[in-house]
Amino acid sequence: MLFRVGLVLISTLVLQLALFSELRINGVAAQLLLAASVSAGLTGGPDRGSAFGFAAGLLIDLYLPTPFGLSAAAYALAAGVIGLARDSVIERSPLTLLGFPAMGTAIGLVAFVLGAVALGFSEVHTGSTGRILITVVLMNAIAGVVLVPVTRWMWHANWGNGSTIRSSLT
Amino acid sequence: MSAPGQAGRSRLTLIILVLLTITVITLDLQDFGPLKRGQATVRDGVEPVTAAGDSVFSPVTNAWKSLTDYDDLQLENESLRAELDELRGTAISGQAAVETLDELLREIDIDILSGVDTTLARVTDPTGNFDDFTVDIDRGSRDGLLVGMPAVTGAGLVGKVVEVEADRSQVELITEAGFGLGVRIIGPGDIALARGVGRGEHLEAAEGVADGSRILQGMSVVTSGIEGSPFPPDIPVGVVAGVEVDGAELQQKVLIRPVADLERLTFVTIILWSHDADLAEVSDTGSSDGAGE
Repeated sequence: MLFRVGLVLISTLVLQLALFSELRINGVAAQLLLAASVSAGLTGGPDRGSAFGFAAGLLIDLYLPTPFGLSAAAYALAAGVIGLARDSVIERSPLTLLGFPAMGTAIGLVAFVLGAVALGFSEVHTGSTGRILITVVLMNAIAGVVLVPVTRWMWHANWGNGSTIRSSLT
Repeated sequence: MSAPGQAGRSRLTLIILVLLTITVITLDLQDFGPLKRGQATVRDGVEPVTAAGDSVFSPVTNAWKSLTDYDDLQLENESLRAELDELRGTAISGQAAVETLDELLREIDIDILSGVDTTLARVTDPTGNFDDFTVDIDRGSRDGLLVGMPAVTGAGLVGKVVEVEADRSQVELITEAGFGLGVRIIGPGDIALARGVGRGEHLEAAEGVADGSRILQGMSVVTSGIEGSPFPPDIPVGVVAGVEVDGAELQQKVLIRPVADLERLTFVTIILWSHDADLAEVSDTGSSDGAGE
């Protein structure tokens, strides 16, 4: 499984840096590693999701001027919360698969901005924050359609694959 | 409902991640050397893969950019055309303006790049959506870059190099909040400390501006190059956009509009000039008269 995790992490990072960072709409790019973290939490549960989110956040932090570890914390939180929230879902539906990545992305972005401001990087929060948040949430929700199955494959998990929820942890 | 064992494991995961986060952020904010070197090593290790990805996806990204940037380019074209018309008008408006310009140029002695080594760097696309206060460039220590070196465009000062790796560096923009630089206002000659207050905002200079100084809108501002300054003298910084007078303290605050277009940087020139190296040179050549100081 570690091989699959590594493969997904590196592939997502390369896609983010080489492709998605440049495919911007109104200057805003999808945050693929955050979408992957949330999907990992959704399919793998809170523990594995937050660990994956932490690793994914550290990878993207290598390329951001904000403090190293900030994205890691935000992504881990988002993946953990979504991992816990999935237990409240009884039936799988297309809306669930779009809604969870969207909700997780919003949690991750808000945590990132709040964390940055708390650490003195107030430039992160500008008048564009709301616009960026909405755009990334929409983009990541769409990315989740692909990333949920990918992370399910990564964990060898069943979540979202049947009509009822079967936690991959049990 | 979660089993007790699972809840315990979740709590342990949470505690480990929180501790790791606090440790990593603290070490990073303290500029912990081994962590920085580790980051650079990982980046260098991933670089060949991302470079390959760049090559593979470049047709897609180029096509996307040509689609999405078309309107911007059209606007820029119109704006440049208007500027050109204005410049033509200025050029034929009379010999007086030309003479004034000559005089100003002589006074400033703008030839910032003569006699010093420079390297041209491409500003790389930002990775995130919120990283607005620095720009990444595709040149690093292998090209002779050092922390503190000035970055300029043909128009003037852009910022300074704040982080250097083998093949990439980070440039902090002069408008970044807290960025300070010594400036000289051409005309009255006041030497002041200008500070950035945020991207898209004017620089502000209050410290050093004499109370009675007659500073007018449009006056040119260049780097002062005074002792201890990280920049060589006479690099154009901006023009005076306004002067605010504090009635209570009788102090003038000068607002400076940067001449370099910091919002649309594609290439910057790094002046391979280091304040430390310059000091060392001065120390070598002037050791006889400076020994006692």
